[in-house]
Amino acid sequence: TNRRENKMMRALHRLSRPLLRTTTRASSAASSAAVPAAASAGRLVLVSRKAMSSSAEVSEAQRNVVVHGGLKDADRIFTNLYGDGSPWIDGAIKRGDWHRTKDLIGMGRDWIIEEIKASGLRGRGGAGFPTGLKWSFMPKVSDGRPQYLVVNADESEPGTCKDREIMRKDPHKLIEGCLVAGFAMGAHAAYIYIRGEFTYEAECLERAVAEAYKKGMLGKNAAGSGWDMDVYVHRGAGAYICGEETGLIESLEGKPGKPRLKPPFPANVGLYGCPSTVNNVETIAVAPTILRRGASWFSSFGRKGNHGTKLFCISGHINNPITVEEEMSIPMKDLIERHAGGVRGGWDNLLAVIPGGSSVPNLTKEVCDTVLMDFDALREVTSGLGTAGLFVFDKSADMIKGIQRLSYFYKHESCGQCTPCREGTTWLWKVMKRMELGDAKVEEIDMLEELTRQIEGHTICALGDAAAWPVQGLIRNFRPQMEERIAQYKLSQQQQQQKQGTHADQAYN
Amino acid sequence: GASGIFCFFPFPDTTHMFRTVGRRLSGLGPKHTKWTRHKDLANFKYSQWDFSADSYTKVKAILARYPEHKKQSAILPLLHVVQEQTGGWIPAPAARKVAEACECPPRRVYECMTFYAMYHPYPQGKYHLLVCRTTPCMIRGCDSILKTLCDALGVVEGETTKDGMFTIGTMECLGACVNAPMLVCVDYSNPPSYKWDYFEDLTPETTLKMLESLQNGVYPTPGPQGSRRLSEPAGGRTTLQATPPGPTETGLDDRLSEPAGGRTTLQATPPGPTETGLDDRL
Repeated sequence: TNRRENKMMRALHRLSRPLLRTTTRASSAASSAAVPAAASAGRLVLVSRKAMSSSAEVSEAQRNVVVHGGLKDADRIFTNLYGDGSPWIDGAIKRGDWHRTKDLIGMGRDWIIEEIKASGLRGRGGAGFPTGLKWSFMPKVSDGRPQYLVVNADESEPGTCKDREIMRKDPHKLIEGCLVAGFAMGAHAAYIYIRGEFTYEAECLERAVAEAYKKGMLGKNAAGSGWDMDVYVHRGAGAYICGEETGLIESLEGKPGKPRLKPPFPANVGLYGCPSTVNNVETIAVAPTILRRGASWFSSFGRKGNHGTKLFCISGHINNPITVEEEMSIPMKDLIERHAGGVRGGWDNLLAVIPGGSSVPNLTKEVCDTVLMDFDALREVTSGLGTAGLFVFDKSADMIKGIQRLSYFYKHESCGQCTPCREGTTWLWKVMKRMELGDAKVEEIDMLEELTRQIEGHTICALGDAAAWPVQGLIRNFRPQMEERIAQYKLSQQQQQQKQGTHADQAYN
Repeated sequence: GASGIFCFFPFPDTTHMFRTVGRRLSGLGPKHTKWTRHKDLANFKYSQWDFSADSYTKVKAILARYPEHKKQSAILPLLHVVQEQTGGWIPAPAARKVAEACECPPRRVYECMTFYAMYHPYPQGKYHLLVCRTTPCMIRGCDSILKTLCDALGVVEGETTKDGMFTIGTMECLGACVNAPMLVCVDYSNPPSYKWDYFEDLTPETTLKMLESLQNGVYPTPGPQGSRRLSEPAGGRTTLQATPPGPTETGLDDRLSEPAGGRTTLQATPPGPTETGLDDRL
């Protein structure tokens, strides 16, 4: 029934929003360290990152644990990431897109959804919801309403710039993905909502869509599969909140992008009130390759529950900012040193890393030494993988100023619908602005934390949580620095007052 | 006041004065600022506004993308068309024209106009330089880029230069974080054609060079202003160092004929001819 489905979806939805107040359990430590024995050639075997209670357990773990990383080029999906080849259909076909799409679709909706479920693909847009499961929520039999696939190309999360690479250098992966995913969910139309600022990327995408239509890959009997598929590109106009699933649907419908309450979920009532699924660009773009190369190939990467490859965007105080496709569960230190040239001034110069776009709490160096880049490992250290847009702060960075800027970002981007977010993000920013100077009392740090807890979870959409978490991370990890700044400011105020004299003196002077 | 036979009516119209008593006494400012007021003086430049013939082709193509009865979806793309045609802003009559095209009340268009950051209700300069200032760009030095631009042009953030050539603004994350710091140059110097280009990997020197180039009327090359092409690492690639392989499939033919979760039947070689008591039954 609808109610049971809603209950189930609400529960699964809650699971995908990381619960930051849970304490780590000892059993989870053991289960996260043990990994299936099948390890392909070329991977190192190293010590597990979790401290075990007995040496016997340690050696057991040492024998079983595999460290991920060092993805070979042959296993990469986005092979035109740096634009070596032509992004257009001729180049795409050479790289293997549009290969036997007809056969893949010929296997049927259920086969496609089962393969995607078996591959372990989780949403690449930040929430990490299992994609096969999401696609299976779409109605199998239409009740008269058309079904829509909506692709979320509104890449506004600070730190994230992976979707623009897909859209300008490999758009046909996305378009083929739209066809395959649209067929799997019974949709004859896909709307790609691309953020307004990505003008060049939108032009590339429109050109690629036109090429696909011309070649018969879209439109009636798309790619000869017998399924009619239309893909439309819709440009947004500069709002981060339109990256939220229901905010995006509202914006597509021509209204301000103010998110809706869930339930009803988009699979029941979505775009134009019809069943629709909103997926990230990367999620859709990897789907055809997964189907062609096999679910077991995709799930051979990464740990259990965190399978596959991911585009990581590493920015900040590193030697080589880069967008790179790597295996999930790669250690963060390995990722930064191997691909991004290491932290400026050496690994020991690292102060903090925000691992998944700005909406997740930061991690200090001690954690970054050993943490793995996947959904579960980062959730265990009270952060999250999010969109895998890392930004790295070295010891020269002012963390408080950085988080203040993020607070301003959330205040600016709040749609204003619900009070905790609208008032809370403004209040957060005002306090953070004073914290940057140190013009605050020490008690206000606790007040700030309480404020974030009042915003988190009490909003219509996850922007409230996203605004709260960076500040919580700052207070958890950098409280001494905040208190020091407050003390310094107080001292400098006192010194200034001593220089100026009291008001009484000034009156007579 | 009233008009008609009695041209002189001695009592002033006090409605506005009474209605704003609370606002004035509590020291609040005017109810509408330039951000929310769409009856701005600048808008009176146009008493009526219409799409040009070129714009109408675009409008028709846009409206064809959405279902017949859901033309409201076209508001956002049509407002972009308006901005391109006028050269950087949306006059109120244009918003009403968009409402007409989308068959919805004008307030729906005003809602969208004021909600989204890319729509401007008042004119901008010919070149609109928007610096991204969120944390990933901040830690790579976007503040110095902004300062360089403002000092070179003698304006503060948000202002347009006296000659109407440049407007300096800031934006929230523009989605080019590995190429930080960066800015967007929107070229409205030649409406209806316009350019919206990212200039990435900036330093104060390259920013000034870019600005000079624009001042001389030469449009600089967009993209990373340093040595690299896109998002590949400046220090040399660590991946994708060879030509990628062609179409790759792994056991696709076998998998295409088998159920995804693994076989539940026919897991062994089938037996040869099988009969049960056939001779008796024959």
